[in-house]
Amino acid sequence: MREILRTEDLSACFSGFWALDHVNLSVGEGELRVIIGPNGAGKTTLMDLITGKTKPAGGRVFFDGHDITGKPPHEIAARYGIGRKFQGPSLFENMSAAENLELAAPRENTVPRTFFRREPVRLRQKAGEVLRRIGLSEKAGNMACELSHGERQWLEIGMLMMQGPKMMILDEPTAGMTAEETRLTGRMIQRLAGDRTVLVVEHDMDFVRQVARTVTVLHMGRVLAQGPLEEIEKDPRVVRVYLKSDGREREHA
Amino acid sequence: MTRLAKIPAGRYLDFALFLALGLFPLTGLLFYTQLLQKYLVFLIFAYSLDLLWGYAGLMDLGHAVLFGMGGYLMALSLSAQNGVPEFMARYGVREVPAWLAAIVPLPAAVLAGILIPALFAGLLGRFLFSSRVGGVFFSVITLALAQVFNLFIQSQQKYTGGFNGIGGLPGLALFGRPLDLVQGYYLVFAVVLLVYAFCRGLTASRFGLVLRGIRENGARLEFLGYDPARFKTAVFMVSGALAGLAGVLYVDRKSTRLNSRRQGQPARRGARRHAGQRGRQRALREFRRVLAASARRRSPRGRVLRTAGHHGRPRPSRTRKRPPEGEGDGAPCVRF
Repeated sequence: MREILRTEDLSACFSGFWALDHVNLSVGEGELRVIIGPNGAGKTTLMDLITGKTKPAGGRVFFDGHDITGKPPHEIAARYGIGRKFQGPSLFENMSAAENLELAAPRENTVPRTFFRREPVRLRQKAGEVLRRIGLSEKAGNMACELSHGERQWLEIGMLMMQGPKMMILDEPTAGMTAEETRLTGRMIQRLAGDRTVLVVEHDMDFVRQVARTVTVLHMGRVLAQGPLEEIEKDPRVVRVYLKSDGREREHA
Repeated sequence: MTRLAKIPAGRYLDFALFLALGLFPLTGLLFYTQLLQKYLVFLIFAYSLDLLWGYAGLMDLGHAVLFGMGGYLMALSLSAQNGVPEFMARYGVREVPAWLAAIVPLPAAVLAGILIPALFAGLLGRFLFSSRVGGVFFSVITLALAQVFNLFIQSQQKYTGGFNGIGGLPGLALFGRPLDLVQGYYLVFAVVLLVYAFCRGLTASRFGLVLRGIRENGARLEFLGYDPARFKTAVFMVSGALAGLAGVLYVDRKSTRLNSRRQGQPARRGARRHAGQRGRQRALREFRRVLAASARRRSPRGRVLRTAGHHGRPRPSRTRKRPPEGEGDGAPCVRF
């Protein structure tokens, strides 16, 4: 598998606290990689460094053969093709679901390309298609702020589908979802992973079991373990710092 | 996640409003036509602010600076049509300065009145937005800027007329023929329609979509590959151009004075500010002095000299033999 993302000794420091400490990570093209770890392990910080939101204190990020360390977010998104879904989700609240998607379309995103330019018809069609895929066709005209939490999460995943990046970074895509919604989201993400690289940060172990092939465990800003899910779940270090409760539950079951 | 309130506005309401505005001069109410013309000018200014504030969410509290630039450039051009303007001559300016000569042809003045505010906004936006100044900080900086501009205009009394502004301007002429009141109204009305169509087109384009995206969640846009700073700068420039255009049109009246205040009042106001800054004693002294001076300036008819007559053209008067303050050393004559 061709390597698409590599971090070398990537470190982040927030006023003396090393949120990330020499993280070396390698993700192959078309891979679906899940990153887990306890709160404060540095998962979101890692995403921030890759997408340019935070500047690293040391180390480098390579994407698709280019050094993207410290580049501004818009350049990383537009030129190198990394899309990101935020924890939370982060939408354009007072704009309709369809408009949220249209805004996410690539290429038409500089001043000369938008100034007095009509929305291309193919963009509208593509937005309609994505709305169907995320099950929001009937709510195309609803404002993003009127949607339920699960629908908002899907809308942001839909924005990533519109954006069509080489790599998608999903920060807790199933947070606040019901079990059924989580399962649907898992299927959505599995379908996405086929033709592009997907990096998912998630806490929900059921979801992780559903989608994961390779798992990276972060702890205290370092990579604690990495490997196929079955091995990770048996790894005593991982069980100790992260899977504790899950392990116990299994024993009781 | 607050939802913006729905305002009952739309194309049809706009259409009805424009129809009413278009037909209004037929009523023959000249006074109100003249008044409405001024409101039409402010309509352009409102469109300009709406692009910036309503669409992109950038609250410019100093937007009047851009309006003022257009206004002053136009007014200076009009005042210099027949050589050195009177208010400049009073300060010993013998010939029209080169920068003013450049905008004496009216098309040049209109162009400058649109482009200079746009460029100014672009420059300001370039610095503010690329250093990520946003939200309330943008508002505060622009508010401060308004004060700076105010002080600048007043300190350059030699070239701007200071507190008194620029008055007694000739009315606007089109192709060498002076326009009457109703014609002037329709000229402004036509510009309003053009600006309206321009704004509609711009906000309906993808640019408008991005502007709303900036208002809603500018940080998110970056991760979709947009550089919000560029869009903000661009809309600030467009908005600046429209504000400047509004300023240019605002001047088109014989009765208009840019700093329209009655004679005597500005000086008193200066004294009041003075009180805030340097102390009561000096302010009182100043106030008495100004009162005395304004009493001396009263014409036999009991009217204030500078606003006497229809076109407010200052008459030569005895008081002017006394040189204005600060003239001797060529320093600007603002008293605070």
